[in-house]
Amino acid sequence: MTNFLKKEKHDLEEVIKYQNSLIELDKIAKMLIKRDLALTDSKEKLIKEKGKVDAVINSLTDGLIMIDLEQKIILINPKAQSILNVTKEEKLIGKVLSELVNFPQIKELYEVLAKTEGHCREKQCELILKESIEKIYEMQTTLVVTETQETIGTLIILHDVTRERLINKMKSEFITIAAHQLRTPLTGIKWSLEMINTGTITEEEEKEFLDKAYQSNERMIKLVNSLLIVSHLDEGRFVYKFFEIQIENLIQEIIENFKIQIKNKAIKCIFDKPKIPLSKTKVDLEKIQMVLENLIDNAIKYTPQNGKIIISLKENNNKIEVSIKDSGMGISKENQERLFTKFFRSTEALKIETSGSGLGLFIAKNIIEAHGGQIWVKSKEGRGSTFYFTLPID
Amino acid sequence: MTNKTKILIVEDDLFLRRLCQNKLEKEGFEVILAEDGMRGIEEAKKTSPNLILLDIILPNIDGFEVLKILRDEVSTKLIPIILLSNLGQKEDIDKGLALGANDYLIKAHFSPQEIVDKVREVLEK
Repeated sequence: MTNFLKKEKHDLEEVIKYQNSLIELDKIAKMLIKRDLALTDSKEKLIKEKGKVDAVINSLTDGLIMIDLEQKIILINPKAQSILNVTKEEKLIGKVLSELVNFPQIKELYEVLAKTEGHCREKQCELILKESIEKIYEMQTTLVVTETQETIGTLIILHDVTRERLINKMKSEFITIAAHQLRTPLTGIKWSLEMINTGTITEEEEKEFLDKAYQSNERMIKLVNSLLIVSHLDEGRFVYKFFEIQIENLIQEIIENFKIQIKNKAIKCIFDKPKIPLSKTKVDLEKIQMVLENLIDNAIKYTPQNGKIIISLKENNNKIEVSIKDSGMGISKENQERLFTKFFRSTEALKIETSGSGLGLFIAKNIIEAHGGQIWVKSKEGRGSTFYFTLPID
Repeated sequence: MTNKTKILIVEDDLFLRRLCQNKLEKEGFEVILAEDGMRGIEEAKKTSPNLILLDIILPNIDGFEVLKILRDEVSTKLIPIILLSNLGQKEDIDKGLALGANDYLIKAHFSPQEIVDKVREVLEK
């Protein structure tokens, strides 16, 4: 009996043990399933994350290249491919930079990298690539270091600074020329003041120098105004106050203002006013006045004594065309092309008057174009020039 | 024949030319004028001045070119030349001196008297 009971007890214990282990197994199984699920989840998350990082790298507007310690390319984004002029099909991954000499742009990059090795690390240098146009890139190299402080390669970032450099260059050129242009009348004023002050000149000379110094001063005031207008044009900050005007009246008024100059040179000035009034046009009065004054002033300046100026008006195809014809020395074909550019002075103009700023026609072109019109010149050397501009009628 | 010291002024601005001429004549110099680069070279060859005051921004041939031509020409090679310009960038000054100018003066920074002093200084060397 006792034996039987003992056995019974033992069996029972076995069953319990077995059951316990089953429970245990179940727990493990459940745990495993849970872990597996979690793993799949994070794997998916990882893929998703990698996709995100790839997308970011691919859509960067800067060129991005990563090389390992042996200078093998391990990453290159589409922007970098386009900067270095390599097609997407080129298999660059895994290739060593120094061996890619067939690609002139990569060769250039490698040379800059090699030249600056040691001190360009964590620093910026410049990469100049010459294609049809010269492109300038700011090249920044950074060491790639893992969390365990292990260096695994170098990251190269290429940032296009071509436009910035161009703007900087233009700005400094502008300032250099402007300074020169301002110094000339200033010198005249300074010299005459000194000569008057030291009293070494005759009374007549004193009168002459004072007169001319005053004119120089006027010239400087005009020049400063022109420079300001140009700088506003550059910024695109050229606000227009539009008025509806009858252009014939404005031209008539301006001619009146030039009466003395016209008379002094005995110039025959003809205003060929149309019989029927032209349509009204909406313009920034002050600016259009500036254009007309500049063109008429030029015509007077470059027309010799007893010469002739004809101002005509035409209206067709929804626009008004103004023309100002002088009987000056004309402008060569070559100079005509550059006439409307900033600071340009034609060799013909320099022979007559060296003090012009070279800004008048540049400003005129900007004003007319901002009104939706056009400005141009027709001229033959020795046979005068005609300046035309149009203004739309709406 | 005068035995006055001859100064050639190559300057396109009428007013500055006139002022410079006036001052130098009052100081006892004989002044020859040229209003552009081409004239400047012609006058330098023709009149063999003792010194040339040369502007840089000039019609047809600029001052740097004039300087180069005069330095290459046997008859004008040794004439002292002072560049008198309103260009004041370091590159311009360096370029002028490298081309063989004896001095470089920025117009707006010098009074007529100071220019005369410089002229005398260069002539005495």
